[in-house]
Amino acid sequence: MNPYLPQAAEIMEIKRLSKDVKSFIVRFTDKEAMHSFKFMVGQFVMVSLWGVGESPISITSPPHEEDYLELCIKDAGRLTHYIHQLTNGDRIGIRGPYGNHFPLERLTRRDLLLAAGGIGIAPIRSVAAEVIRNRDLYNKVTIIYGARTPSDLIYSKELRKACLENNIRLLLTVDKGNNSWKGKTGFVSELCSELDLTTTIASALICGPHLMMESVTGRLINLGFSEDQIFLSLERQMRCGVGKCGHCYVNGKFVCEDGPVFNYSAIKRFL
Amino acid sequence: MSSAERMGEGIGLDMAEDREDYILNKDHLFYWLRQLRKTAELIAPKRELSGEITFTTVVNIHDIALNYTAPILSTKHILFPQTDIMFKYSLKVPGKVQSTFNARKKVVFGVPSCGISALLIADRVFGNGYTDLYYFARRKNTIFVSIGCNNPLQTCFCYSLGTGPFLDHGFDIQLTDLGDRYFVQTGTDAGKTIIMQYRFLFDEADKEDYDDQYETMLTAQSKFEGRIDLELYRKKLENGQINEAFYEWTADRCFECGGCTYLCPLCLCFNIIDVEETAKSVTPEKSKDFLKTPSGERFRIWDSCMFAGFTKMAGGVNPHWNKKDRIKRWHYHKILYYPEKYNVFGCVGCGLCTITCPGKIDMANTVIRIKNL
Repeated sequence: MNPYLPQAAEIMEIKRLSKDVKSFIVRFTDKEAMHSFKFMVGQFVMVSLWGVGESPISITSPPHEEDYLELCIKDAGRLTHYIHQLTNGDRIGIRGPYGNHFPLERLTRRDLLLAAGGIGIAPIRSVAAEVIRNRDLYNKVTIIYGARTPSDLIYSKELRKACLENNIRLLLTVDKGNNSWKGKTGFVSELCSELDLTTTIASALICGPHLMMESVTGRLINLGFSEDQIFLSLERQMRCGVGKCGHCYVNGKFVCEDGPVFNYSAIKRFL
Repeated sequence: MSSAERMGEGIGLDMAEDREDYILNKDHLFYWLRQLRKTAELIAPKRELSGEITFTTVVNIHDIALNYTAPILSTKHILFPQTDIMFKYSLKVPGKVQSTFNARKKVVFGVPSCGISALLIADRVFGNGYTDLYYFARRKNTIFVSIGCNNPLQTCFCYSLGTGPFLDHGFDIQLTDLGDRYFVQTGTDAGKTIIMQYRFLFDEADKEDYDDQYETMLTAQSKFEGRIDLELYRKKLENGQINEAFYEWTADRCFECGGCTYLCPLCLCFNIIDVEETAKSVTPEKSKDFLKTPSGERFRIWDSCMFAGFTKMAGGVNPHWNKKDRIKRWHYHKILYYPEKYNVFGCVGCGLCTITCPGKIDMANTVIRIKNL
């Protein structure tokens, strides 16, 4: 099979989540392709738009959802800008899933910290859904999530509800609040001081901007988290997604192939 | 074990079980090549008007340059062309795409040993994990006839890497120039076949031929002056013995021309772009339809990590914006990543980057300089 060939997918539904983020519910036009598409939390797909190009996009929907795929896309670059112009029924190309995943299966009976910054919530939402589905397998779970302004906090209503129902602690923060914002203001890393996880048995799964991941990781290590229990999902430019084109090479690793999820102890010298 | 020996494994190419050695009289060479050209595209070193050697499709057999020093480009473009159509697309049937494979039979004559060694490493890169069908469609239809290097240039350091000047295996056919005749070794069944078809041109090698070949090999090996030790570089990198100031010094001398990456047989990075069919090919009557359902092709093209935009992401974030970081990245990729992943360096010592680099910060010069750090 040729890994570079995208398969057609139709946009079933578009939800506007914030001023520059939309979520796209897509379904492969080929039923067989939809049925055989399996992925694990933290993996990504390459999304194609003919004449424009291709970009790596994290999968936001839970892996057990077999009828559709949800892609949460921020209008940040050329391709994503074009994607934001699409409407229901339009078709895109998808290939994948690619990359490794957050190793949830190895983290059972542990305390979990899910940390997201900005659009980094995209794969973390998928992780959260999987944790909720198997809630009994994990000990204490906390989600910390921050964005620029209250309206940039996407999925917050949904998260609040799900966390409340499933005994998960949710801490939100914004860089800059407004009149109606009653929550915290400040960086995501500042929320770390409020954690009540038992660090000796805790693992952290993080996705967000580079600086956010760096500062959160620093805080966690100070709190006593072990380096090999911190997992970071990196972002890089990618063209092929399958370990050939070389764009996502980051000192010793290919993000598409060896990542996007990396163990902190394995990549700390390069971060 | 030389790195060349480590390489041929696991790439799914048939190695000949019984290797046979022959002698080809030099007078018969062009006749043989002429015959080969009847069934396959023949690619060989050609001296251009500028004096530079390029590997191009042979039109006139006498254009083939037999005694050249170094080609201006490596032979990577034969299996991995600078622009390569991956498939055609159309908005009329979005997602229904058909890959386009170029599977024409080719014989590539006169590749130096370092080129063959690079090929064996490229096989691993394109074959590791997801198989790159574009590369292998060409690979499986191409026969490589290599010529060992009797006269390595000062810029060459294949000998210290075990990637030349002669190889034990990896070639389909390897020729050794013995003055009046070629010593011919077969390495694969495909190589053997194109000899068997013209068996009457080839004599069996006898003891004297083996002695001459051995002698030629030893003489060539003794001509390597500089000993470039990439392993020393790797160790120093790993131990953090090379400071930022060194790469700053290097960056000051870099012209960002990208020459090193375009010439390097193991710089295999590429970009993927869509090219819309131009309106030229669309008649006015059809132009309305065309606008509604545009079509085009998705290409891949060579890219260079020496260019600032190489790592730029959506939103303008660029982790390797400055030149120093980019150069460091290139070195790390070749010296740390390749050995970690493929057990060989991402360098075969062909010296093409040394020939081209206007700033004299190519691989060989870098390694010589870090020796004293």
